[in-house]
Amino acid sequence: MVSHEIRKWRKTISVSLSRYMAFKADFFLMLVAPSFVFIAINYNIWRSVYQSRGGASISGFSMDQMLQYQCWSFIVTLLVRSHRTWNLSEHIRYGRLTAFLLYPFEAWKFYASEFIAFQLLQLVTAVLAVSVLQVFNFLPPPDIGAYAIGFGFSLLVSVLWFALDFTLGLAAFWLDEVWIFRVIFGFFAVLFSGAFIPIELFPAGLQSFLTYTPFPFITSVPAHLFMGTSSVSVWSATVTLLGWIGSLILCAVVVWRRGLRLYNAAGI
Amino acid sequence: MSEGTSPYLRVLHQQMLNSLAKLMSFRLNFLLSMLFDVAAFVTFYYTTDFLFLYISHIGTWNRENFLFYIFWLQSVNAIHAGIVAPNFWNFAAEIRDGNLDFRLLRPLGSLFDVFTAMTRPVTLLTTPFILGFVIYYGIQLHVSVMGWVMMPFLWVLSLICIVLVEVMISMGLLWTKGGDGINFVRIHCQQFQRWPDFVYPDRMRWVFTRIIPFLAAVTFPVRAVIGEGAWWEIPFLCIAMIGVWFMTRWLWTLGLRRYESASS
Repeated sequence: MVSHEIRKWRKTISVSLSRYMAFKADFFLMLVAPSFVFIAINYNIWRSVYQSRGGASISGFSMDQMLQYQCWSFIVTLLVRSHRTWNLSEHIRYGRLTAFLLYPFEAWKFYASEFIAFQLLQLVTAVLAVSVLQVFNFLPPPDIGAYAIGFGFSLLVSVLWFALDFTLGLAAFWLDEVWIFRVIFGFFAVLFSGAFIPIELFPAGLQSFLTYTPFPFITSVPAHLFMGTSSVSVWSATVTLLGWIGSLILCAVVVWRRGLRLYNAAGI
Repeated sequence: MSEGTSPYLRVLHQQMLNSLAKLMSFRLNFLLSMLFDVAAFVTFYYTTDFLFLYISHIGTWNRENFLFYIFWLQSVNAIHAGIVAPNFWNFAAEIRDGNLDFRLLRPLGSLFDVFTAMTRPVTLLTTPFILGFVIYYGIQLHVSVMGWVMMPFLWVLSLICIVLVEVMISMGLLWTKGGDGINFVRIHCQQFQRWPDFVYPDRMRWVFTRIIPFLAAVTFPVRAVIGEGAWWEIPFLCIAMIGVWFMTRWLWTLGLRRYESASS
């Protein structure tokens, strides 16, 4: 029974991998574009900012630390933000979800398999990116312990992102267009997760407010874990993160059940 | 619209009305679209404003220079996002599904039809609001009379140049099958424009102002308005725009020869 289930997961993951790799030029561009833009924008802007200050540190971040933080922020973004459930809303809207409801493999498992397949590719890409950044001295010599913690924690955060993305996608049971939710959330995630401006630079009130939200886990916490400069222990961060993931999964289950009652299988 | 108006304007007008009717039939979507624009605006503004808590200048520009630049770009993007931008993903989908055939058969310029088929009129509503900020920061920067007079022309030049460069990039969709990759590149190119050309290293700046002028599309007109531009920048942008247009036409013709129509 268990082996049968594992086989289904493995097969779906393998099909997803083949599909991602089918359009090679497309896939290559999707990987290269964000990397290039990161180097071009985040790195150069922060360099310009520090040069304008004559190299003086900002909220405890020296120029080197800030540039390293930006590198790790990029790696975390690669590992965390996958958007693999982008077609869920389309499947609901056009009634294509029916097929998934009839398969002997539940819909969420299908989307989770797609997510796992993409994460496997992103993991390889992230490792390559770290190697390249190290070769060109953007990052200091590797600290294996911090890397293991950073990669492990980032992959756990990617589950949080997947759960969030999945839940937002389920809004298609009620709404015509749900991409707006995702993009709005993306805007706020970039701003409040510390993807461009580290959270330590925010006003104190905003910093303490953000500790009650999942935003710091999306970039800031994993980036600091990679750097070995995290102010929270990895265990307490993991427990809090698991709490957020659990809450979101619960929320997704409730929304899924309620949404399915509205689903008419023919699209809106 | 009267019969005497260009058929292209009449088609665009009708498409806007259709989009508006569709949008108004899903009221919540209408509100969410507004919220989307506000969120983009707020995050865009705060990211820049925040940096200036710690610095007074980046290069030779201060906070007011940057905010003028940001709102200029935002106002141009509002029109772009309202009329052209929704069509890039649609173009990729139509190539994949073979639906591009129907556009090619219509008695309209196909490029026009492809890139105005879907519109987001809500975004256009935010333009006057953002233009208000452009004017406000223009006053803060003491823009000269000549700068104010030239502003509408330079603003239109920015818009045309941004649209043309993105349309040119999207021609790559005719060569790649999936479509997501090219659209990713295009979206990331937009990220470059969020900052003026001088924050980038020399070689990168040279490529993205002289070869693919998407940095020049915003930086050159803004510099001209605030009186910091070199004499050759605007003539160069006009020539580059004509070059981009011919390049786009050439790529379109070449790409269509490769197009196999998935539906046939």
